[in-house]
Amino acid sequence: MLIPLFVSRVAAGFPSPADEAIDQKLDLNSYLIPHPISTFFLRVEGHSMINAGIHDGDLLIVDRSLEPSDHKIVVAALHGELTVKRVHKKQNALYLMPENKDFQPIRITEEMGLTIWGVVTHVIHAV
Amino acid sequence: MYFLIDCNNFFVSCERVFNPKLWNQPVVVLSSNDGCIVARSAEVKELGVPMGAPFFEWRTLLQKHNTHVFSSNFRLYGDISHRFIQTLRQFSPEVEVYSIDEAFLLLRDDFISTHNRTWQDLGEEIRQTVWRWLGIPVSVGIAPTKTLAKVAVELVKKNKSSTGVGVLIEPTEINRALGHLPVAAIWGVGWRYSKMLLANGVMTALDFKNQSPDWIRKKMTVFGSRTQTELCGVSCLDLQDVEPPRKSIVCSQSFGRVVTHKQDLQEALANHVAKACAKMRARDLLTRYISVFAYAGSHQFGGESLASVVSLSVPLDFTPEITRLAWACLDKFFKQGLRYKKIGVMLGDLVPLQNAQYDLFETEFPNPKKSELMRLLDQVNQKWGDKGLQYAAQGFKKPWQAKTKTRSPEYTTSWAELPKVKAR
Repeated sequence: MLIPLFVSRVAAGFPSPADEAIDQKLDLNSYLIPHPISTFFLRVEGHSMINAGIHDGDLLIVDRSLEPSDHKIVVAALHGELTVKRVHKKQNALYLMPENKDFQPIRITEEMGLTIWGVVTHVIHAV
Repeated sequence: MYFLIDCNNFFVSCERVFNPKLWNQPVVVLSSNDGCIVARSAEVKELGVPMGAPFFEWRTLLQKHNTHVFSSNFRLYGDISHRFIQTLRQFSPEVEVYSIDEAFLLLRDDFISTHNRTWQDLGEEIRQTVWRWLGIPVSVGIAPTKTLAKVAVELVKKNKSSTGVGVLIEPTEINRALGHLPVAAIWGVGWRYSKMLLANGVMTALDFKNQSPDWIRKKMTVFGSRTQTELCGVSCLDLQDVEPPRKSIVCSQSFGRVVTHKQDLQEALANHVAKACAKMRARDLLTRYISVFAYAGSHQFGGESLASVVSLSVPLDFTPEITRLAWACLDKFFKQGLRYKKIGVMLGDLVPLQNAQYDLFETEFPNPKKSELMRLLDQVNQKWGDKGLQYAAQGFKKPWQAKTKTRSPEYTTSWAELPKVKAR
């Protein structure tokens, strides 16, 4: 017994499951910068944070709207300069820690007039 | 309820964001060509330096106080201003951008009851958010009308012990505030009207508010009446949320040094035309009226204003054609031997692309080749800015360009000029 074989193709009517996915492009901006209004790029000068993966010449993505909580890497304004450090809260004291054994932690006092400028969210560098 | 958010010493504040060395220090920002002082920090205001003062007149005093001086950094200020407006939009979709550093917000009267807050609280939250996100200090005025919100901000700025937020809702509060405000400081009353008002015994904003409405109407037309109504707490000036259609586009600049050669004037003019045309095309407009103006001589010894205009039968947006017409205008008034200080172009009688009328002899309008060329030019220049494409007529060395001796880095718009952070 012969069974008929369909030769004609189905006319353009079947949607491809790939169609829905086509508009989804990967956008680095929205991935890295959820708060563009308060986010700025800064350039690193120096080696005190290498153990955190932050090297001289790297690009930092810094968000001013985030809370500078314990263990976060922040940009701080100290002695007239912007500096990048890790926050360390110990009992009642606040320290700004380097990430390099050749540098010293800084204990923060009221008189020093410290201002936290923003929180570092990503560090960018070419390899 | 209207909120007016006004950035304090905006250009100075922008300079301070990325440079902690400027915090609590005297700072001034100069106009393009470093001529006049257009922004002063609080420390400089205390020295008695007036707004718009010629820099050379105050240079010695400012130097004595170790003042930091900056040329205008418009890319930076523009970017921060944009972020400022975006921050305000978090609080209300109804925002009117009044100027580069001021905006009105409109909030529904039932906002506080539905959110269980006070207007003062909300004003404070706006202030804190702008400070936190951008590092820009602002003054907030809250009132039932735009004019009163302006009054509220004036008072916040004058009062050193203010929290930065001024609320004018209670009639007794309003009247007390108006009693302390001179008429000249009312928004919408220019120096011309203030002279007339003072001559008629109207000294304060309160006097103005209490004047007979008929008298105000007669002396100051409907605009004066609106201002009076607003001061009485009745809103008649709406939020303008759409930029009104441009009637003209001007591009001009004072020279860095005196210019005497016609070729330099032509070069400068070509640059201004290119810029103005790009702005015009960005709004899908064409021009039917080109005016070229220049200033020669000096303020002290008598200067001359020169100008020439041309009216077009067919609207244009093609840069080379407009440049040629602008040069023809220059030819009409150029005099050998004059010391030129400034040149500019105005493109007027602007008409939207879709309304533009054909020329009887043009086969296709708009000419597709010319349109495509301009489109590409604008696209490239949008990406590359100053390093983009220019016509040879705009010159290469440009010796006439304005001085910007001490401009700070373009911190937020140039990869090469990012702010530095020390890891030391």
